[in-house]
Amino acid sequence: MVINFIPEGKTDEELVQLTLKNKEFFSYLVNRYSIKLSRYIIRISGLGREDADDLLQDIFIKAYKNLNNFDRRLKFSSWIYRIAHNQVIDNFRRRRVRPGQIYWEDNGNILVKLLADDDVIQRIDSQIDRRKIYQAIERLDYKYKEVLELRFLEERNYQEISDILKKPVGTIASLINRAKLKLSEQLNKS
Amino acid sequence: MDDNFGQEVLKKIERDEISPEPKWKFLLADYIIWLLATACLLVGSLAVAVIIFIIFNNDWDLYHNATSSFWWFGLTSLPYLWILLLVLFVGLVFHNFRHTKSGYRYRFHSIFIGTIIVSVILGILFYGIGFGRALERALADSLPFYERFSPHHRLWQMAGEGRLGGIITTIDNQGNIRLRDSFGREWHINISQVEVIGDPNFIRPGQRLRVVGRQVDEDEFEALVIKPLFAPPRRQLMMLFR
Repeated sequence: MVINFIPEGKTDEELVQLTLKNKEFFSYLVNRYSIKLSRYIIRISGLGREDADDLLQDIFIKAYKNLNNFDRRLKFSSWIYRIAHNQVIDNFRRRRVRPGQIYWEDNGNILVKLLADDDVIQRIDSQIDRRKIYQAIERLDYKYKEVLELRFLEERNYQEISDILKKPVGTIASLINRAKLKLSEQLNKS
Repeated sequence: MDDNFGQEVLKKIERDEISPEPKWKFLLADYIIWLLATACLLVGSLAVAVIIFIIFNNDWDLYHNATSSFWWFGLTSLPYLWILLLVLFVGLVFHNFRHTKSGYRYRFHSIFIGTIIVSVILGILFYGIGFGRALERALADSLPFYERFSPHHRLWQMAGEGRLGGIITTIDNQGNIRLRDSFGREWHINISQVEVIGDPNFIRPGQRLRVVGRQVDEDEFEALVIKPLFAPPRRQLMMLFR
């Protein structure tokens, strides 16, 4: 049992090292990421709360089994998001469903961030109907929605997105730019 | 979600007696990927060494006996088999490298161009130490079909068109040669009017020859020009830096 331990003072990477000595410490990592990851899974998989919790448990178990494979050059958050992403894709495959929708909750923040993002603001009329923006996002290819989700909802930087999706940073930058371009095209059409 | 999801996960870990996979397993998998990538890079580099060897030792000085166009001769005698092997192994290096821990960080063209550059540098080095020659010869000696399917050899399996290649089996008192081609057929070569390209000392049993001339009988060939199949190793190195 872990006694007199203040997890807030420890980094994720320190908690990984502690977990390898005593599995009890793993619960701190789980509690630190469960809400964020649950939200992420629901958004990218469209699963209901219960199924998402089951999947989340699988993700943490997989992470625990692979703790010795944690690459310290990465942030722990990127590593656990990568496992979550792969697990969701595996889940799609098992269900023989193609990844399609990403569920963007009607949260004004995303629109503010998206519209405030450098050149998008020049292309999109900021007064445009919020619903239309969500519809336009929905019409984008999954690969574009996925990077927009990680960039604007999860607020990951390019390097982190590269580590999560296992794609070069340059490719991530191109995907985000193309996604924004396609989004503004969609909005202009509508 | 339960407020203490962490405890739930821990309970499952304990109940199912799950433990982290040992570090050596991951290290081993990583080493295997790197080892495969390195092995493929070396094979690709050997292919480059053989390609350089074949191109430098192609019978450029006899091209007019095979075709009227220098470029056509070059195109038809390129070592396509080795080029294909190089492409295949560059692909395998790419595949293995992308599966290393940090391989995903590099763009397709960076890995591709990097692999080609390293293969060419190593290939030149291997060629310089004679691996290109040794490998090409070893294959020609041990695999009978190798010469039959290699364009730069196939050009010399056309006795009817005045081009013959093979290995000297015996030389008689008059200096006439018996030559065995890549199909195992024995030829009697008349060398009374022959012009020798290169050092005449190479005409001895066991040597590989190119012969330009004409077929005068079923197994008889009148030679006009003969030259060794490949330049001696020292000359090859000089050709590279000329």
